[in-house]
Amino acid sequence: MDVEKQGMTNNGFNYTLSPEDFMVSSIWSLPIHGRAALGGKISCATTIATSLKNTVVLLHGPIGCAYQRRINPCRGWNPIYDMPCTALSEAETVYGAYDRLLGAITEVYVKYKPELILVISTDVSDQIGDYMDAVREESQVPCEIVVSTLVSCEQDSVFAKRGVSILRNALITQLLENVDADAEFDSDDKSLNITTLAQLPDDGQRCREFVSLVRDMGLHVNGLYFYNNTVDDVKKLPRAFASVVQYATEPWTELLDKKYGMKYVELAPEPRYTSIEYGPYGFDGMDRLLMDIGEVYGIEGRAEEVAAQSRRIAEETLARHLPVLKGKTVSIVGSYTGGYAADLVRHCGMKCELLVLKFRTGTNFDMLLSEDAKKRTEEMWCDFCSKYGSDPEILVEPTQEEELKALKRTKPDLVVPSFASTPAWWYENNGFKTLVSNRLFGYFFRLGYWTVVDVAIEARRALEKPQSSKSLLSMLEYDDEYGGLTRYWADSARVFRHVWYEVV
Amino acid sequence: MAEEIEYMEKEHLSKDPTQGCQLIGAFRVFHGIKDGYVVLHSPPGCHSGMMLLRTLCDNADSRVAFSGIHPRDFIYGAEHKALAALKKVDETFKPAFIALLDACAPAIVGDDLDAVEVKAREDVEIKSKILYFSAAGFHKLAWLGYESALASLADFMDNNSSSGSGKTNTDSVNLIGFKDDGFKSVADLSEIKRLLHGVGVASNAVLTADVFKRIAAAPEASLNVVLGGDGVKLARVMKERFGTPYVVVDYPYGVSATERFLERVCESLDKEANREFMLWERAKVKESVEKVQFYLNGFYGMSCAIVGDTAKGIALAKFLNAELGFDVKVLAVTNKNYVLEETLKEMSGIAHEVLVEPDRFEMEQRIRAAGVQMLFGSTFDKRLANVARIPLVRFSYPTIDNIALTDVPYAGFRGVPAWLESIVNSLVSRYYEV
Repeated sequence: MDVEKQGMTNNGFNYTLSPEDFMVSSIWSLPIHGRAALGGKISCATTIATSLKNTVVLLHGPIGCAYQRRINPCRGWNPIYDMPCTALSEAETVYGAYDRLLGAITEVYVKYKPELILVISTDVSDQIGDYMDAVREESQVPCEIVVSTLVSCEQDSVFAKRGVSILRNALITQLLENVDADAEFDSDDKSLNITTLAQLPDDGQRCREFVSLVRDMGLHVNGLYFYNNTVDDVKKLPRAFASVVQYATEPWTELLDKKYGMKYVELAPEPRYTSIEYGPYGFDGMDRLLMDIGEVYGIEGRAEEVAAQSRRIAEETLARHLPVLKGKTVSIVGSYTGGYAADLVRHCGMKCELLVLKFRTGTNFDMLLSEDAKKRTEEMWCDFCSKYGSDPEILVEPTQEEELKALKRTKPDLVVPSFASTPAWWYENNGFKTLVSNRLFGYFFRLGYWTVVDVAIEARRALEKPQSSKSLLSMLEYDDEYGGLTRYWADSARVFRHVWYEVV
Repeated sequence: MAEEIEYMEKEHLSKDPTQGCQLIGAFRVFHGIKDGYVVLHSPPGCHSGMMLLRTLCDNADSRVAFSGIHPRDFIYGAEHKALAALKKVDETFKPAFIALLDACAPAIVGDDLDAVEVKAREDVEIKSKILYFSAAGFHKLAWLGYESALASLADFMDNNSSSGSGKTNTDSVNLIGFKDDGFKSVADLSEIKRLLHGVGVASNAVLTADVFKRIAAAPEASLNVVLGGDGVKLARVMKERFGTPYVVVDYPYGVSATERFLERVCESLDKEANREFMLWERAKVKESVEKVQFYLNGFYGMSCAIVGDTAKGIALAKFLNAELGFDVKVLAVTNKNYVLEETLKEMSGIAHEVLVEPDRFEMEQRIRAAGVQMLFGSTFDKRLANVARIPLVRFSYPTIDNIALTDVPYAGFRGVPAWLESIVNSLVSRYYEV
C-alpha cells in the first residue's frame, strides 16, 4: 500500500521531500564530515555566508583557497560561484597584505555591487597577522563590510561548528555595532527571531510549522536566520523581543542581551543531554519549547492552548497510523541522541527489543566522548526504554556479525538505523524491514509536532512495502568498525583519526 | 570572421580564480600514480578540499591523507606530524610511492620537510619511496605546480635499472600531460592507447595515470608524447637526462585531430602510419554522423563559448570550429602551459576572443555579452549556463556533478560519437516554451 497516496501528504505540516534532500543525504554519506576528513573553518563560514542575499565573500588568501572552497562540503553538488580572493603570493607573506585587501575590497565592490562584503581570513592571512578589522574603517566603499578572522578556529567539538559560529558572531556583532540601543526601532514586543536554521536546501519548508505555531501564539516572526537574509534583515534582529537560539552563550547573543535586552529561548539549554528525551523533539519536547516561549512573553496560557491544540491535531493524524505500528517491535541503532527512533517508542507504541549503541556513527567525534559519557548514554537509553515499557537487549559497539546475530535472535519487525551509520540496505539485505533514514534527514532541523507524524508515516511505509533485498551496494566489502564504509575508506578514517586526534 | 586574438592579462588586487594553486596542480600529478599516495602537510581544509575534488567524481579512489595540523602547530611547527602521517600511510596502505606536499601554513612556519623526507627515507620501517614536493599555494599557480611536480618524477627514473633491461623499446611512447581526474579520463586513456596500438605503437608509461614502476621505467620509451603541451617541462628534462625525444600534439578531439595525433606520433618514430586502421575508424565515425546529419546541419554556425585548460580547451575549439562549424565566440583558457603562446599563434582566427587565466567574474561577463547558444566547461560554469539559459556540456576540470562510468571517451575516433551525443542531446532534450 502506498501510504503517501492516502491523503497523508499535503495535510498539515508534512514534509515534502525534494530531489535536493537526497543530494544532501548523498553528500553527508561521503566520509568527509569527520570520518576520513574534516571540512575546514572556511567551508563552515561560507555555508552561512552563502545564505545571505546580495553578499559577496572575499577570501583574504591565496587563490587555491578560493578555488577549492568553491566546493562546500555540505553542498558539494552546488558550487559557490562567486569566490573572489586577494590572491596572496609569497611577497605578501613577508610584507603583509593589508593594502592589497583594501584595494581588493574596492575592486569587489565595483564588480559585484553587493550590499555586504564579507571578508574571511585564511591560514595565510591569519599567520601574516594583517590587522584586517581596520578595513572596516578605512575602506571607502558604499556597502557594509564584515571581517571574520578565523584564527585559532579548531573544529574539535561535536556541536560547536566553529567556522559557523565565528562567522555568525562577526556578522551580527559588526552589523549591529552602529545600531544604537536607543534608536527608534519600531521594536515589537510580540515578535520573535528564529535563528536556528541549518542552511540546508529548502529551509523555508522546514520552518513552516514552527512559524505557524509562533503566529498562533499571537506573536510575529521578525526574521529567520540565516535564510536569504539581507543586511537590513540582520540589522532588524534587535527589533524582536526574544530569539530562539541553539545556545545563548555566543558573543552575538550576549551583545543582543546587553545592548538591546534580548531574551532567549534555547533549544539546547544547560544541562545538556541529560536524557534521551532532551531537546525540542517529540510532542513533549515541542510542548516544552512552546511553553518556554510563552513564559518569555508572559503568554503561558495562550502557549498552553496552542500546544494542546496543535498536539491534538497531530495526534489525531498520528492515530491513523498507530494501528499498523502499535505493539510492533523495533531494533534501534542509537547514539547520544534519541531522535526519530525515540518517537516510535514514546509516541507510536512500538517496543524496543534490541538497542544497538554505536558512537562512531557519522564522524570520528566519538574520540571526544569519554567512556563515562558512553556509559551514561547507555543508562539514559535504559531509563528511556524502561519508562515506555521496553526492556531491550543492549549491544554496545558490536561488530556487524554480532549485530546480525542479535537481530536474528530478536527478530524485530523494524530496524531503525541512525543516519550515516550502518545503512538501511544492509539490514534489508539481511531480511529486516528497515526505516530509511535518508527520508527523515530533515528531522533534526525541523521544529514542530508533525515531525512525529512523518516518522510514523516512514515507519509504516517501511513496514508495508516490500523490502529491497538485492542492493547492488551489498557487492562491496564493508568494514567491521566503521559501518557503511568499505575497508578502504575505513582505513582512511583510521588514518585520519590517528593524525587528527592521536598524534600530539 | 575572426578578429585579432585578445590576450588578456591584467594585474588585479582581487581575483576570482579559474584555476587553483600549485598544491592542486601537484596533487593532480601525484594522485595519478595509481599505487601511490599523497600526504598533505596541512590543516584539514586543504585536505578535505582535495579529497572532495577527487571523491565527488570517483567515490572509490581518493588516496590523500594529511598530517593533521592544528592551529597551535602554526606556532610550534609540526614536522613530527608529517613524519607520523607518512609512517601511518605507509603502514596502512603500503603504497609504492608517497608524495609529501606542504600547504601554505607550514611553509610560513618554516617546517623543514626536506629533513622529514630524509628521515622517512632512512626509516627502515617505511617501505614506500618518498618525495617531498614544496607545494605551498602562495608560491605558484596550479599549472606551474603541475609542471614542476611532473618534472620532479624524473628523479625516480632510471633507464638502466628501473626494469632491469636498460634498453629503449622501439615504437613505444610515454603519454605526458594526461590527468586521471578529468571528465571521462579513464575512457579517454583507453581510447588513446587503443589508437596507438592500432597504428602499431605501444604505450609505455602514462604520466600520470600509471603505477610507480612504469613511471620509473619511462625512459625505456622511444618517444614522449606531450598532450596539448601539458608536462613539457618533464619532456625537456627527460630529453636532457635520458635522450628521450618528445613531440607536442593536440589532445585528440575530433577526427582530424586524432588522425593528426597518430600521424605526428608515427612521424616522430620514423614509422609509417597505418592508413587502413585510420580509414576504418573514419568509416565508423561516418556511420554516427549519418545518424544525426540533420541535427548537425541545423546546428552548423551555432555560437559557443569554451572554458577549459590549454590542452583540452584549445583542442575542443579546433574540433568544434573545423568539424562542426561552430562559431567559437569566447575561449577562456583556465590554465596556461609553457607552449600556450605558440599554440595561440597557430590557432589564430578560431576563436573571436581568447581570455587567458581570466577572473571568473570578468569571464562570465564576456561570455554573457558574447551571446552564445552553448557552453562547454566544468561544474563551476553551471550557473553561467543557467543564467544564460543555454546548455552546458561538461568536459573540463573540475567536473564533479557528472559521473562517467562507461567506456565512452571524448578523445579519439570513438570520442566523436560521444561528442555528438552530448551536443545534440543537450539541445534536443531541453524544454522549450511553445
